[in-house]
This record gives sequence, structure tokens and C-alpha cells, in this order.
Amino acid sequence: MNLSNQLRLERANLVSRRHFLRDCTTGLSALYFAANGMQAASVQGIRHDPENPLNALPPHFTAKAKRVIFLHMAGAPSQLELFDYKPELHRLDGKDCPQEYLAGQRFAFIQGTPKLLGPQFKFAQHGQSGAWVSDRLPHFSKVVDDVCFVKTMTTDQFNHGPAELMVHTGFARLGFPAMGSWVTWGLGTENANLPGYMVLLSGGRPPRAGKALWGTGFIPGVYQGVQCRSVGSPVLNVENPDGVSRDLRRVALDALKDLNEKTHSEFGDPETLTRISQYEMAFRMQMAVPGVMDISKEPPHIHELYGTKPGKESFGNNCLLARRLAEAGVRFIQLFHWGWDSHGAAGDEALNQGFQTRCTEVDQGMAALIGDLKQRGMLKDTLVVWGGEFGRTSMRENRGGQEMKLIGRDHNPNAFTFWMAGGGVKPGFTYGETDPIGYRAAINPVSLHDFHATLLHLMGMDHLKLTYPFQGLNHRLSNVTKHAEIVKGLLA
Amino acid sequence: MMLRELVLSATYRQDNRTSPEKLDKDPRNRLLSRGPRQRLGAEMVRDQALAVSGLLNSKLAGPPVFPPLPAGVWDPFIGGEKWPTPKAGEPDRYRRALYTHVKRSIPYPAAATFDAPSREVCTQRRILSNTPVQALATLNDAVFREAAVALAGRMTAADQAIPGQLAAGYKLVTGRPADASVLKRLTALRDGSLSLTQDPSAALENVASVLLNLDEVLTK
Repeated sequence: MNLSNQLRLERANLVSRRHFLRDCTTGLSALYFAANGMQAASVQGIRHDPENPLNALPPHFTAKAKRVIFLHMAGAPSQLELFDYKPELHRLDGKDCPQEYLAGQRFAFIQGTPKLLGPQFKFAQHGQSGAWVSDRLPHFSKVVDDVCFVKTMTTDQFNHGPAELMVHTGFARLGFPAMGSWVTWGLGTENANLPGYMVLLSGGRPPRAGKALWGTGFIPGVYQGVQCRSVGSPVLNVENPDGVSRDLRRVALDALKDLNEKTHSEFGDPETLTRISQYEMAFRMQMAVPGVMDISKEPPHIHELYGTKPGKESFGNNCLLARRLAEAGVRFIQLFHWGWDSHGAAGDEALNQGFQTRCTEVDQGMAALIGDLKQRGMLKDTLVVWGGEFGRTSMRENRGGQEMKLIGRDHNPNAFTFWMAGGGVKPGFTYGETDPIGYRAAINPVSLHDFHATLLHLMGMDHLKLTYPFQGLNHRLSNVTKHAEIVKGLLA
Repeated sequence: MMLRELVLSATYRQDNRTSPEKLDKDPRNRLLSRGPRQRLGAEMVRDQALAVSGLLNSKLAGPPVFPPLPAGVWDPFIGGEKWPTPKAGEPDRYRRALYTHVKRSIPYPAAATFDAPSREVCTQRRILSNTPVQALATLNDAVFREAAVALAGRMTAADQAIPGQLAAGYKLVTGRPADASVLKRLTALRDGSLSLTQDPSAALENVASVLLNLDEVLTK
């Protein structure tokens, strides 16, 4: 929080509704919110110390989850091959898709009347909870009693970039803060020597929407996600150059801060204040990062658990890093693993080829993460979330109306599976049910806005109160233009 | 022609100072209430450091070049592939960022850190981030370290007296003279650095590194 924002918040607390309406540039929406009794004119101020903008702040109420580890499977994995078992779809395999499922639907690639495609892998029930998981995830199958499945996630986006933005910001367009930024802005972080929001990538490519997925939008830049490298040293240049001692660097940064403050008083650009904070963070990271990020210090049984090989890019390594960062007090840890876009147009993305490789790449690491957090007593206050940006169709993709050599499914925004573990969600539980072919959410659909409201609730924050004033509107993660409800049914 | 028209317009040439009022009414400058103020793009961050320190080789065209890479970054899938970095002083070490060899699976870190696109898909606009990892790059990366040392050399050559050297450095990086308060702060930094190192050139290099990292310098 910088000074000018602080002043704006103070002012917003003072102005009356009448002034608010008069000054508001989006008068109509303000009228709407005022008429609906949504306290647009009163800002629930998050007040950070301008000198230490990442200092921990108390939540609105007692939190179940202190931190989040979000595992985003970029490209959108097929729920029908992993968690959402549909015997009826198996029975209908190869039959023409009934028109009732096609009327009014837009697809990325499917044309004409596609065939239904049954589950491609064997399913079995696991654990006390009897959760259905396919044989692609043998490690994960052993931890299902700690997991809460949401089978009925929905979105209104069916292209990767906008859909990924929806998952992370609640909007399909660029320019809005990511949930990690909202959470870090709202709660600060517990370790002043590390960024509060860190991002780890694997799978060989960044997600389609790129850095906008961990950007801050209109929230001060100091709350943006800090991306670590996934191969070799996670953070480069943490060592000072030869001949530059830490003391020498300190006097340099003191001068830099003074000179940049002068620049800020002259030009008034909030980015300058963010830059000052980031240089100070860099200085502290130089001490903290080498220890936290060095997974080679983990004992052999931990490497065996995660299947990790230090020095190589892998989802498993990132899961282990995520646990270490969680232990070190980082508030929001965001992982992306690319490569789940199983259209079947090429081998590396076909359900009968590349998809299986992807399953193997993530299975052990994500199961180990849950087990490891649990054995350290951290699962109870760490919320782990797994999911893609949408689901996949119950129909087999027929690009250009032709049957394809390899097997794949198209994008489906109507139903997909998220799973969560720890942090105040019901363990060994399944929420929501899709229709008999797994195409639409049938019972208890959950929108991404509901999910965002629920995530904030678990972190002790009211999604209607965690608002940020921008261009006359009090924005919120759960998207002021949409309906959002806390999903009470999955709370422990 | 269009670009010329744009940059010569009164709107583009407005002062980029802002005020709480302007930030409130026009936070993203969509109404063009002030001149543009943005962090430099990835390529410019490098090119500018080389240019102000006098290291830049402005040769046009030719095959790609291989500027210094941090240790451990070059790990190509095909083992025989090389990243032959020219030695200190060789001209191809200091070419514009544009000429850096592009390998999509191993993006050049100093460029990627400053939001250069990965080149895998079309990029309509670059997100300009502002992160501690960028601070670590411009403070510690080999290229920027070399630039700081060279800038200190240029400052030494510019004047026999310390105040003149500091003023010359500031003028080189910002394009405008240092006022008394800036000069006073730079002098304090130089003296503080000297008392720590007992080495006049190391002290001036510390000043040069600060100059290259000024918000005003990294921002246009």
C-alpha cells in the first residue's frame, strides 16, 4: 500500500454516498449497487504499513487456511479420464451424441454430430470414502480420504487464455488482480524475507495467458506473484558480484531508496514505490532464498516420496519446493503444469498418448505433497487446490467433422473437477454431481466466483468486504458483476 | 510516419508527472491526462545499461551473439549445442539485445525476467511487471556488473575531482544535471562505500551500480 492509495482509502471512508454518486465515473453501476444496498461508498480498508507493505494483517474472522498451494493443470485435463466416472458414458461409447447436448453449444473444434466417448481408463473406488479415481493416478488414489472433490465446477469461457484468467482473476479479460495478489494484499505474508506470492512453472511451457495470471491489475505491484525459474537455480543472481559485500550493497540500497523517494515525490508514480519495496525484498531474498529453495538438502526418504531429482524441471520438484515455501511462511504458492490440452490432434496431447505421460508427471508429486503436509501437521491450515481452466467434452473430438486417428476431447466449460485438500474443506468428500454422461453440472454447480468466495472464506476473509476501489467501483475477487456464494456444503 | 506523428504530438510530449487527483480519475492514463511513464522493455534495459556505460557495440545486422549467461542456465537437450560467450572486451559481448541468440526452451534470463515474450504464441502486448527478481538482475547479473564497472571508468575519466565524476555519472544515466540534493546523496554514498572498502574504484563502482538502478533510469 503506498501513500497515495492510503490517502484515497481514507478519503473514501469519509465521502458520503451522495458525493460518491456525484464523483463516480460509472454512475449507473453505482446506482445499481446503491439501490441494492451494497455498501459501495464504504471501503473496508486494508491498511498496510507503507514501509512494510507485506506485513501480516489479521483476517476478518478466524481462518481455517493460513496459506494456499494452487496446482493449475494448464490446458484443462479431462475430468472423465481421472475423477468423474460415468458408466453410462461407457455404455454409450461410439454412439452419436444426442442433439439435446449439441443445441446451442459452441465448441472450439467439434463439428456436426460427434460420437460420445467412454472413459478411456479403468476406474476403481479408493479409500474409506470410496472415491472413484482412474488407474492413471496410482499414488493419488492412496490419499483420496484427505481430498474433497468438486465435480461440478463451471465457467463461461472455453478458450484457454480467457478461461485461465477467469480461474485466477475472476474476469476473462486482462487487467484484474490474481487471487494470490488479493490474498497477499488482504493478509500480507508471514515471512518478510520472501515474497508473499510465488509462482513455479513446469511442463515445458508457461500457461497460455502468461504473466497476467499472477499480475496485480489495479492493486499495488508489490503484491504480484514472483516467478521462480524451474530449471537449475530457482532464483538467479542471488549472489552479490565478487568484491561487493553485503554491507557495501546495503549502503548502495540506502542511497537508491533515498533517490527513488525523491523521484516519487517529483513524479507521483506508484510504480516507483513498488520498485523501492522490491529492491528491499531482493536484499532480504538474497539471505533467505538459497536455503529455502535448495531441495537437495531434503533427506532421501523425502526425495523418494516425491520422486524428485534436484536440478531438473519437474512438477515433483515444484511440489517439494511448494511445501518448503509453505513451511517458510509464504502465503500463496502457485504452480502451473502445462500440457493437458488433450484434443487428440497430435500424440503429445492425445488421451491415449501424451495425456498418460502428464498423469505420470503429476501423480506422485501431488500425492506426496498432501501426505507430506499431513505428516508435518500443516495440512489442517494449508489449502491445496488442483484443477484446470475448464473440462473436456463427453464427445470425442472430430476436428473438421472427421474421425481422428488419435483420441481426444474438446473444451467443455459446463463441468469440470477441482479437488481440494486441507485448510477447512471436508476430507474424503465429493461435492456436486454431473449428468449421466458428465457433460453438464447437474446437482450443485459451482461457478469460479463461488470458488473464489469460498477460498477467501477459508482464509478468514469475507469476499464482499475484501474490496479495492478502482475507477469508482469497489472491485472484488468474486467479481462485482456476478453472483457469488460461499459453497457451505464443502466446508469441514 | 504514424510513429513520428505520435511521438511529436503534444499529448505524447506531456509531462509525465502525476498527482493523486490524476491517479484517482485516470489511473491507467487511458484519458491521456499525462505523458507516458513506463518501465523500459526487456531489450532496452540491457541496451541502455551498455550504452550509458560506453560498452555498447552498435554494429548492425549479422549472426546472433551469445552474451554472458548465469551459471547453470545453459543445459540444452542436445548436449553438443554451445553458448560461446565472447571474452570480456570482445565486441560481440556488447551487441544490442536484439542480436542475442534465441532458444525458446532456454530463454535468455535477463530478457525473460523483464517480460520479453517466450515467442511460443503471438503477443499482443507485454505485461510490464516490477519484481525483486528484476532488482537482482540489474544489481548482480554479469552484464550489469560489467556496465557498472565501465560506467565508473567513464565517470573517472570525465573529471579529476569526485563531485565532477558523480555529476558526470548522473548526467550520463538520466540525461540531465544532478541538483544539489542528488549530488549530496551521491557524495555520501561514495564516502560511505570508500570507508567500507578502502578502495576508491570499488566505491565509485558502487555509485555506478546505484545510478544504473535508479527508478528514473529504468523508466522512460
